[in-house]
Amino acid sequence: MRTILALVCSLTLLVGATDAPTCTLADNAHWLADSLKEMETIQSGMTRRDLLKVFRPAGGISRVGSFKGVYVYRDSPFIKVDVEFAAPTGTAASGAPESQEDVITSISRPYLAQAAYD
Amino acid sequence: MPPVTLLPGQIRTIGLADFQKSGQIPIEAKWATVTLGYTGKRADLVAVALSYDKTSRYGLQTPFAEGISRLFKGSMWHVDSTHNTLITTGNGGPEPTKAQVTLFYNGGQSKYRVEKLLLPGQQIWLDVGQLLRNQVPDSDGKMIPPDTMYGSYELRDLDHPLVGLLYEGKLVIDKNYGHAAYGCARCCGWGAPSFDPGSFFGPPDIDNSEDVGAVDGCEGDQVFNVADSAYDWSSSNTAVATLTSPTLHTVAPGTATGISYLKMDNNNARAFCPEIYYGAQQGITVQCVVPTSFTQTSGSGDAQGFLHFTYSWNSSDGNLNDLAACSMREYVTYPGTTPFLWPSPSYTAGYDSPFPVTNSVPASDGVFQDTHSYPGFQGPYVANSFTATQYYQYICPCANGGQPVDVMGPLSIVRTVYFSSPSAEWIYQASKSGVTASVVLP
Repeated sequence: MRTILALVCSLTLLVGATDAPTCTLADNAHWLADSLKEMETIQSGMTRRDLLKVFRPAGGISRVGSFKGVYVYRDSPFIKVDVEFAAPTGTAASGAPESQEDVITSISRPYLAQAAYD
Repeated sequence: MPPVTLLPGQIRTIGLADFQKSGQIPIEAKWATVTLGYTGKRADLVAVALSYDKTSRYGLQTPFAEGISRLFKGSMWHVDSTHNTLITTGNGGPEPTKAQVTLFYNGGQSKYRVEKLLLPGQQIWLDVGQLLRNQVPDSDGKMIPPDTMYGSYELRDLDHPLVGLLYEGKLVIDKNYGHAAYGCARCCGWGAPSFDPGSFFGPPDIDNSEDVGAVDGCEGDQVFNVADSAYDWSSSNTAVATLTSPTLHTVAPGTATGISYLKMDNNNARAFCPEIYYGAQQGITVQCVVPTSFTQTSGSGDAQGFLHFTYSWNSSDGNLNDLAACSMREYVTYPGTTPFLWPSPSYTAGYDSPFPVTNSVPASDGVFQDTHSYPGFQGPYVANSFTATQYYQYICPCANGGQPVDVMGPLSIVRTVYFSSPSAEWIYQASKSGVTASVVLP
């Protein structure tokens, strides 16, 4: 419950709303710390299915079979990671369709960038 | 030596020993390269080198090689208790070259290779009997088994693959009958070269590595790329394409002819593989290649409310690689003026979408995927709906002045938040092109 409240406070700070609950810097620090911990649970060797529990696709068009993409943090689309995958063992990677079982081969540190949706 | 005039049918013997006695050739000289020059047509002069012992009982003779070549094949060596073979090749050209003598044996399965840099006029002498008896290693450290008795050989100019500088000579000596046979290996030249492919079709502003193929007359008619040895590359229309090296650069739509030249040993062995100048030509057609047949190949919605689509396309010339200069993109606009503020609630506050959104991928991919996502949700939920408008476009520098060309659209991307009375749940729903995805809001 603390996490949800902290999230609301943090986002309120972002938009500068005046009629929202007041957030302290400590609230935001807690939210960021908790969020970072959650994002760092996703590591190389896990599957795309694991990734999508914490991140979601940034959206937009992307290359097929490149096995890489940009994902946004579930609770804030301004926090992104670049992820590369490999096809599950025993399947050909080149040109293969995406699968929930694709294995993460690398995931970048989280970074801040503008959200963009199509 | 002074010039000699020969009447038709006249034979004249020139004794080299006389020149040694007179001091014109050093008395200690044991070997030399002898070159005869003459006026007239090929084969007007028939020259033979002879050598006899003091009794004039035992002698050897071999013809002069007419012409020089890059490769000689097809002659035999023979060594046993009563036979021996001497093989020689020399540099008959004006510059140093690396010569390779290869003896084949064991039915052609094994080879013995001697490689040597020859200065002009310098020779390699191989006494094959001695190589076997003394088990002399070759340039690769290998030896011929001493019980080997015969095989074939080749002479190759390693530094001059098109126009060689080597001449050849060989004697097989029969000690039983006291005679020696000289062999004449066949010189090996090239068939007429040509561009491969003979015609080029492609878009503007690309580089294409050109191949010029020529048939090696002694390598089973195998075609070799000799483009690196060609010279004087040119294009008949540099406004269409330039060709100053084996790399063709296309400029603008139109036609041109590409030309390059080669000097090669011709494969006419009867004429001793003469040097011939060849010109090879290639028709060049530069055309604006654009994406065509843009099609939605799949569409689905997942349990998280995301829409997933894939699209594919082809190239107007059937070769996706020719779309290398083009890109394929989406062009998405939202209601009102940019940036579009996602209505909050139900969407999480603070998210805006600057538009138009113009993500792109290389057109040479022939396929892309498109995912329609959302920024997140925030209560208390409020029913609303808005529509984004999407086009798919290509951009090719050679088409439409380099401006985007629509290949599909307008497509409506409808995002709706509504309350579902039967289940008493708030639902987010996205739809496009008849495909829908929904998720129950938390």
